Amino acid sequence: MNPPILRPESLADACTMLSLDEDALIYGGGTALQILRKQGILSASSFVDISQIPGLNEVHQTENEILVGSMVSIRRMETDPLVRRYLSLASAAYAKVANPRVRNTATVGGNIAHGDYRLDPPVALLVLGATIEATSAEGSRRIPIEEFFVDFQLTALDHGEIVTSIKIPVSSDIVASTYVKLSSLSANDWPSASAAAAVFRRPGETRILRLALGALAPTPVVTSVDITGLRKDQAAEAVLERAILMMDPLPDVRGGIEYKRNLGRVAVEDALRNLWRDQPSD
Amino acid sequence: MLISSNFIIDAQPSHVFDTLLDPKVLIKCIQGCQELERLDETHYRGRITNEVAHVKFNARFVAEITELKHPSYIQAVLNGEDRHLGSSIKVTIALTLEQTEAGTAVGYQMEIALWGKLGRLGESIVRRRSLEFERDFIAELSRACIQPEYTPGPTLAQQEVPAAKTGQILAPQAALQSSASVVMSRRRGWFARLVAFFRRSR
Amino acid sequence: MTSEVFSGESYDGNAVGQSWRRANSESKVLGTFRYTADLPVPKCLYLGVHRASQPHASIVNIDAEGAMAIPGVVKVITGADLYDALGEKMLTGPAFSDQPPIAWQRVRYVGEPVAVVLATDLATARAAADEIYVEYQDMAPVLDIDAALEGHDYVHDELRPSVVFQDLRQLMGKRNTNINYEYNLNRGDSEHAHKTAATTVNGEFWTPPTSHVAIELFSASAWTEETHLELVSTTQTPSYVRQAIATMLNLRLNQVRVRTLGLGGSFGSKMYDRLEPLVAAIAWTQKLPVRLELTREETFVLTTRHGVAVSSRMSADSDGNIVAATADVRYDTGAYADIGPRIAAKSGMVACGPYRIENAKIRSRCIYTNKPSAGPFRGFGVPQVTWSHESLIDDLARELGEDPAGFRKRNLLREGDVAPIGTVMHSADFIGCLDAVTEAIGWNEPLERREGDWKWGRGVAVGIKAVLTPTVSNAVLQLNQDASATLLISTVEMGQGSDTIMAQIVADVLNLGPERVRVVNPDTDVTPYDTITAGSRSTYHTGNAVKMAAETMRDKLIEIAAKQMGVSPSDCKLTAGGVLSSSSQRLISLEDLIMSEFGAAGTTMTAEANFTTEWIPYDKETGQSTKITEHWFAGAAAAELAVDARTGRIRIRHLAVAGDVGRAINPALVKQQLIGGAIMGMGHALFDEIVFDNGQMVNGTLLDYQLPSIKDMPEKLTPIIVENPHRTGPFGAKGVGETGLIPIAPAIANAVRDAIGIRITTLPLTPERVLTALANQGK
Ligand SMILES: Cc1cc2nc3c(=O)[nH]c(=O)nc-3n(C[C@H](O)[C@H](O)[C@H](O)COP(=O)(O)OP(=O)(O)OC[C@H]3O[C@@H](n4cnc5c(N)ncnc54)[C@H](O)[C@@H]3O)c2cc1C
Repeated sequence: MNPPILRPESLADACTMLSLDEDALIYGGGTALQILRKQGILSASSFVDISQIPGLNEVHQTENEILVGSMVSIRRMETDPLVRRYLSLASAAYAKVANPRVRNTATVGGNIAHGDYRLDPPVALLVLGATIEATSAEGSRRIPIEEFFVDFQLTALDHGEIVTSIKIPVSSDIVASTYVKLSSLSANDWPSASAAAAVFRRPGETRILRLALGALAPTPVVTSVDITGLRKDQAAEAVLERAILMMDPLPDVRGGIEYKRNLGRVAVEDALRNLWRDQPSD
Repeated sequence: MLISSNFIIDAQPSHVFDTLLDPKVLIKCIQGCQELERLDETHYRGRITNEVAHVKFNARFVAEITELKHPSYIQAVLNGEDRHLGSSIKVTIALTLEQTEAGTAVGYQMEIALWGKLGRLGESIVRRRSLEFERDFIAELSRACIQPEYTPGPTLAQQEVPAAKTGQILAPQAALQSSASVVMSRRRGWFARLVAFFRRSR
Repeated sequence: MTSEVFSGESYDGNAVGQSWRRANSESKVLGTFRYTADLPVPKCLYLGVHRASQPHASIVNIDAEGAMAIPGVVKVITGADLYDALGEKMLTGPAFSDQPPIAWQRVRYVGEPVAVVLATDLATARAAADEIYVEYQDMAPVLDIDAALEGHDYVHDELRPSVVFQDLRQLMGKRNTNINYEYNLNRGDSEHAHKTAATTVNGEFWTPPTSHVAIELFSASAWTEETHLELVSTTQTPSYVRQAIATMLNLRLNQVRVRTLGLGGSFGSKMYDRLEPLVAAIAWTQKLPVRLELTREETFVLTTRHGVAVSSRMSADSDGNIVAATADVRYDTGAYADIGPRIAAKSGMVACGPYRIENAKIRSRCIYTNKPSAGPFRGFGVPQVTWSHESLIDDLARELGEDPAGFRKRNLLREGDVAPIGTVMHSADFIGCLDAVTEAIGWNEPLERREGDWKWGRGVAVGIKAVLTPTVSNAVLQLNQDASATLLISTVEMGQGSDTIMAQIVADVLNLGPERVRVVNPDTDVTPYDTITAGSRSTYHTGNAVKMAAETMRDKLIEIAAKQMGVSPSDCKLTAGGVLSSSSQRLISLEDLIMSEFGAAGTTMTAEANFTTEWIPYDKETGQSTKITEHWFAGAAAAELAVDARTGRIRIRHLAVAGDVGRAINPALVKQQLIGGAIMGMGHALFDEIVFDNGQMVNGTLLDYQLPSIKDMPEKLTPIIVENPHRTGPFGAKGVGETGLIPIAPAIANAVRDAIGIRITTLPLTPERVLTALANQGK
C-alpha cells in the first residue's frame, strides 16, 4: 500500500512527525524510496516530505566552505557555477550519478542518507572532508563524513534525524583532484569501482594524497597517504598498496570479488594518472 | 548462492558439537533469532527477524538435521518463510568439525536459496548479511564453547569501529580476531568454486 | 541518423520505396498517443496476483482470510476455483496445453500466480495479494537443462500437446520426461564426413535467457456483455487470443471480442497466452469486469528468451569446403512449453548455418525446467544457434588460415542451392549482405593493432532465418466516397511501423496520398484473422493480402469508371487525379466516381483478400522438406572494436549491419529496424542477461537488469539495405524485424577473438568474462 505523504512546512514540525512515528521515513527526492515501494518490500508507515521546509534548497558560500542544503538537487551540484569552480571534485562526482532524470529529482541529503556503498558523491565528499549536519527532535549535531557510513547500508543517522545540510570545505591546498567511475556492465550503470583523489599541499610543502574508494567495500572508505618527497612512481606504489588493503568487495551480478578488486586497482591507477597529469611535476 | 568458510574454536570437537546443537546457545548465535525450539532429536522450529535497507523481514522457519556424525559432521536443511514479503528461504548447511592443534576447525558450506520478493534484493545484500551473520555466529559460538557460564555479550557489530575511519582500515576478519579468541581463515579458491557453481547452475 | 521525411506535396503516386513518416509519430513524441491501457473500458475490479515463492512445490493450503478482511476486497480466486469451473480446458498454450492461468495443485516457478484478489482498486488488490498465505510441500526443483536431462525429477507428470498441432499428437500422455519436443535433421553421413575431414572444430556454446523489456507494461481487461466476452489486451496476437479464449471457455468465436491498440514495444513478449486466459476466465466464470496491470517486476517473470546450450562441430576438407556440421541444441523453455517446441524445430533446424553442407546432423530439444516460461523473442530462437555456427565457422576459417569473410563467402548458400534442410534457396542474398558489411567497416584495409591496453579486432557473421510457415493473413479495404481509405487488418502496430507501410502499399496501388489511408486498430469483431504479428512476417504476408485487396479495389474502380465513361476497362488507368481514359483523356475523380455509382455522399466500397502460405512438413527422421518455409531472411553484421586489457571492457568502434529485405517499402523504417535489432543484439552480446540463483531471478528489476544505454552505443553504426526482390513478395518485399539482431553477438565475439586471440563461447561477453579469459590465457 502507498504510505501517506506528510508535508511539514517547518523543520520543527518535521522532527515532531518523525519522533512520533517510528516507521515514518524522510522523503527527499524519492528516487531510492519509490523503487523500494514499487517492489513492495518497503516497510514505512508514512513519508515525511521535507521539500516544503524553507531554506533547505540553497547553496551558500562562506569564507572557507560551501554549505549545501539537503534538498538541493544532484543536478544542481553538477551544474552550479559556484560548486564547479570551488568544488570541482564534488561536482565531477555528482555529475556521474545515474542519468539526468535521476539527477534532477534526487537530493544531496537523500543521496548521502541512502547510505549505499556504491554511491558516487560520498567518495568525493570523503576526500574533501565534508561535515553532515543533522537535526532531530533532540537537537542538531554535526557528523564528520568519515563517521557517517557505519556499515553496509547503514549510516550514523538515528531514526528521525534529518540531514539539513552538508558543509564542504573549500581548500586552496588542493593542487589536483580527480574522480574516476568504472562500471562493469552498461556504461550508464552504478559504479563497480570508483575512486576520488586529491593532492593537498600544506604549508611547509608537505604533500598529502587523500584517496577514497566507492563500491569496493561495504561502505565507502578513505585514506590519507603522506607523499612528501616521494617520486611519482614511489607515491603511486604507496597509494596502490594502501588502496588494495582497503578493498573488501561484495560479489553480485556486476562481478565477483576478484574482478572488482581488479577494477578497483584500475580506478586507482587512472585516478593517479589524472592527478599526475593535472599537477605540475616536482 | 554458495557460502563457505572455516574457523577455529579453542575447544574439543565433541564439546563444540554438543554446543552447536543446543537451542539455548543457537538462539544467541543466530543474529535476529527471536524464537528457537527443539521439537525432537532432529527438528527445530523458530523465528528470525532482521532489517536491511528499510526492508524488514520476519520469517518462521523449520530446520531438520539430515545427517549427524558425532563429533565430526552435521548436515541440516532450513526452510523459512516470510509470509508478508511473499518470500521463502532454504538453506542447506554442511558443518565439519576437525581436531587441530589450535582447537576445533569448523568448516561450513551453506547453499542459500532465497525466493520471492526478497530474492530480488540482490546478492550483495544477502552476502553482506550472511557475513555479519557469520561474524556473530562465530563469536557467540566460541564464547559459548569457551566459557562454561555463558552470557551473551554485545554483538560484534556494535563493538566494531566504523570502517570508514580515516587512514584506518579494519577488515571484519581482523575485528574478529581482536575481539574474540577466534581465528578465521577464508578458504582459498572460494571464487573459483563460486564460478564452478554458477557454471553448473546455468 | 537522418531519415528522409516524405512531404505530401511532392507526392507522385509512388508510395512504395518512399520514407513516409511513421504513423502517429507526433503523438508518440508528444506523449498523447493512446496505448492499449488508455482505451476506455467499463469500471473494472482490479486484480492483484499472489505469486509463488517456491520453484517447485505442491500447494497444500491457501489461506485468504487476511486478504478477504481488507475493505475493498471482493473475492479471492485460486487455480482450484478455475478448475472447478473449467476443468482441464483452463490449461492453455500455443503448442502444449500445459499452463493454468493460476497454478493448480502445484507451482512450477518462482513468481507463478497462486491466487488472485479481486478488489475495487489497484492498490488494495495488490496489498491484499500480500496478505494471502500459501502452504507448500516442496518438491525437488529442476533448475537447469542438465538436471532436466538427468531425468530424476519432472516438471510435468505427463506431456499435454495442444489439439492445434497435429504433428505433436503422438506425444500425448508421455511420462517421465522433461523433453517436450525433439527435432532431428539428418542429411548425408555426417559422422563419416567429420572423420575423414581435413580439419574439424567444435565447441560448447551458451546463450543465457534475456528479458524483452518492452517499455510498455502488460495490461488486460475483460468483461461480459449480454452474450459475449470483451477483452482489451496488450497482445500482438489478437486472432490467436480469440481462438484460445473461445476454446478455454467453450464459446463460439463470435462470442469473444479481442481488441488492442498500438503497443509500446513487445519484441515477442506480448504473444499467445499472457494475461488473457486469466482475465477472461475470471470475467466469464464470475461475470465480473476485471482488469490486470503488471508491474515491471511481474513482467520480468512473465516470459523470457530461451537460454540455449549448443554442442556443435564443423569440418572442412583441405580445399576449404565445409563438409560436415553437427549440432546438439537444448532450449530451456522453463516451466511451460509456450511456443518452445516450435522454436526448437523451426530455429533448431538452421543450427548449421546458411552454408552448403552435404552432411549435416542436428538434434534440437525443447526442455522443461522450474523457471519462468520462455517464449518467443525477436529472432525466435535463431540468434542462440547463430551464436554457435558463426563462432564455429570463424574458428574453422582460422584453423585453415583463411580470411573469415572469404571462407564464409566460398561456403555460403546461393540462389538455387539446396539448404541442409532440403529446401531450394531463393531471394536470400547472404553474399550481398556479407560484402556490404565488410566493405562498410573497411575489412580489407589493414587494422592498426596498436600496442598498449586497448586491443583492436574485427569480426563478421551472417544469419539465416526461415519465415514462419504456414500462416494466414487477411485484409479488408474500405474505400470511402471522399477517396479516403480505411484498412482493416489484424496486424498489431508495436513500433515496427506496420501502420505506415501497409498504408503505403494501399496508397501505391490506389494512387492515394499519405493522409488518405488509415489503418484500423485490431479488433476481432472488425478486423479479419491474421495468424500473428511476429517473426517479421507482416510485410510479406499481410502486405500481400493488403496489396491484393487494393488491387481488387483498383480493378473495381476501373470497371465502374469504364462503365461510367463508356469505354473498355483496358483503356482506363488509375492515376493520382482519378481514373483516366487513355482514348478520351477523360478523368473521373474517385470522389465523383463513387458518388455517381451509389448516388450518396459518404458511401463505401469494400474489397478483401486472403494470403495463405503452405509448407511441406519435414520428415520425422531426416527433418528434410522441399518447402520448409515460404521465404528466408538473410543478414550479416561486421564489427570493429577494441578490448581494454585492463578492465575487459569492449568498445565498439563500428558496427555495420545489413539485411536482404527483398525490397524496402519504407527505407527509413527498414534502417530503423536494422539499427534497433543491432542495438538489442549488442546488449545480448555485451551484458544483457537474466541471472538465476536456485530458480530465483536475481536481477529481475531495471536497477540490476542491464540494457544498452545511449553511452553504450557504437561510435558508428551503419545500417545497410540489400534488395533482392522476392518473386512473390509485395513489390518484392520481405520483413526485417529480426534480421538486424541475429548475427550481432557472434560478429562481436569474432572481433574479440581477433583482438585478443581468445574464443569465448558463453554470452554475454561481460568485462569480467573477458578479463578472466585473458588471465587464463596468460597461464
Ligand atoms: C536508476 C537509478 C540509477 C542510479 N545510479 C546511481 C549512480 O550511478 N550513482 C549514484 O551515486 N547513485 C545512483 N543512484 C542512486 C541515487 O543517487 C539515489 O537514489 C538518490 O541519491 C537518493 O536521493 P533522493 O533524494 O531521491 O532520496 P530518497 O529516495 O528520497 O531517500 C533515500 C533515503 O534517504 C532518506 N532521506 C532522504 N532525505 C533525507 C534527509 N534529508 N535526511 C535524512 N534522511 C533522508 C530516506 O528516508 C531514504 O532512506 C541511482 C538511482 C536510480 C533510481
